[in-house]
Amino acid sequence: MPPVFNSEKCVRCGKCVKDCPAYILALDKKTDKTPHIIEEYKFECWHCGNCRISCPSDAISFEFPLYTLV
Amino acid sequence: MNKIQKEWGTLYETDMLILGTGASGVGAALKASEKGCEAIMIGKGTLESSGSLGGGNDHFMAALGTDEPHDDKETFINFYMKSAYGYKREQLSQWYDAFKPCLAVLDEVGTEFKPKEGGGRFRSVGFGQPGAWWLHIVNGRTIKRNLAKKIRKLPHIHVLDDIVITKLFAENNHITGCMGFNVLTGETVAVSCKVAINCLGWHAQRAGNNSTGNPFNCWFTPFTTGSYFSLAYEVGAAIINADISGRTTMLPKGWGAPGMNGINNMGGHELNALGDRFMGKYDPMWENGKRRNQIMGTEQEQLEGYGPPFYMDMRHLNKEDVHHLQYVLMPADKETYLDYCAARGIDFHTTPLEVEIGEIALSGMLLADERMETTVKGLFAGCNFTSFSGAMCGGFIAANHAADDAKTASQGILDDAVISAHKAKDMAPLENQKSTGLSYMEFEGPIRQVMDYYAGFRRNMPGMELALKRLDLITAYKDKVKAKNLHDLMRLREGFDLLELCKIHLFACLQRKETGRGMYKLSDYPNLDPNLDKGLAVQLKDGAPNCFWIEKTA
Repeated sequence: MPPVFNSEKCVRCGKCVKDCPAYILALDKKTDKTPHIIEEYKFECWHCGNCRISCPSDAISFEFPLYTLV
Repeated sequence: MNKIQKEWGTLYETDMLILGTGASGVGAALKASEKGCEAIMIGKGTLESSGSLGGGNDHFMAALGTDEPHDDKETFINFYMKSAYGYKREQLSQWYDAFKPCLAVLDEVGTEFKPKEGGGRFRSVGFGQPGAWWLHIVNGRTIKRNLAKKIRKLPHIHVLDDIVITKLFAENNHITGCMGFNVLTGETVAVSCKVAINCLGWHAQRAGNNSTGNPFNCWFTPFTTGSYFSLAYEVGAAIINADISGRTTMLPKGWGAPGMNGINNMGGHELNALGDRFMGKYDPMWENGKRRNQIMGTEQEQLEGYGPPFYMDMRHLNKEDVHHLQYVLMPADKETYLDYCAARGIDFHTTPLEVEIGEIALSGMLLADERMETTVKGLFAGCNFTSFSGAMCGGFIAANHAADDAKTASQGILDDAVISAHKAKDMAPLENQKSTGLSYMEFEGPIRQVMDYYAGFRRNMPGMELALKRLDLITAYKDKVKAKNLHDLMRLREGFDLLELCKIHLFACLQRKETGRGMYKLSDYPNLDPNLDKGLAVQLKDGAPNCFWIEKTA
């Protein structure tokens, strides 16, 4: 579910995590290959796109939840 | 600015406290810096992405005094004096005067506006207004970041990101400061001030659900839930129009997003399930009339079985306008708009956009004088005007007066014992790990359950009385909540703000015994009462809500 991170493009700068107004992204630079959305809070994503606006490497795309498509 | 380490956390001392870092906070910071007033901006999120402006905006409203029709100050003032209670001509005059300096800043930070053929900026009509006041922003998705870059370099301005504000302080009816906690570290932070601007956002979400049932999938940012009102109300500020300012919009089906203003004012047609364009029955300006009429009209069609589905049809517009709408305006208003379109196979050129009536968002204004000062001395209203323009200009003009007052006002004194006591209360949910404790969703879900059931577009007085009692029951559960981390603690706080605003809204609605000014119909008072052509204010007195009417001024 949104956002989806491309691990090949991601430079692990953490800007997406910092600028997410929902505080639902995480990145542990020691262990994580890419940031991730915290599973239990993914329903709080408003699809505002702030993570993507902040991303310097075009590593973020969006996958829409089923409830937005019906 | 002074920074003092305390046993309970960190105390900052400043002249001006700017509560909230969205568009209104930005406007306030610009003016404070210009006037050489030391200010701290404090709020949730980071300045680069916080507030409704964070993910973008596609319009800036401005009457500019050109020779175009209805572009003058008097017409602008008269429109808003008629459209809402509680405004004063002097306030609106200042809003008008702030258009040009705020636009100059937007130009300076690289905002691109759609050009008009033959020169100048293109503007369109919206919301039943007489003039073409809406400038179209082409690169709206980066506005907040560009403004933030400027704000962070401004002299006299300090930004405290990631702070959830939990309380304002006032002494002898004069603002003295605020406190809150850092959502990343948990540190308690308090700020003492001489004056404060409330820029926390007047558009409160999560009071109801749309068809998706996800309260975070809403019209505007779901992280604004009414602290603009609840925190100010608690220290004695009067709130006006809490009864009639509830509002909503048409949403792209299944997806919480703004943007209908662009579609309406570019000439989109709303169709019902039978393919009939019906808005002429409900507003003389059809889709581009008052948003209230569009919602109430669509709701009526739905009740009569002519929808769902409903559609916004743009196929008749010229190709350039349709392209501008889908590929420029919409993504400027919400960055992921084109991803949504791709996921649903939407192309404005070839297929009407399915839409639905969105959830009701609650709103209102802080009762303020000509200088935007609220009924609490030293506390100024930064979010009493509509849209991005109203937010930025509102903060700008409030700070103008606040900066003047800061020259003579005394520094607020905050009591360590009081802060410590509130800190213990704020943090208590982190200590509660009982299985019977309520998570933030278990606490705030019932608020929506009550509001959706008893306080929708069709209501009645007994239902709202019952709703208020049910909200009182929810209030009794405030000390039974639990948070497993700081994220949950932040959401609980948002739920508390939401609960308070819902109670204020219902209390006010129960006083207004008529139908026709708010975004709901009362079955027991189905007609407009000409004697109620006035505003209603709610203020806390001796711990209980108290109301009084505000007569309309010319």
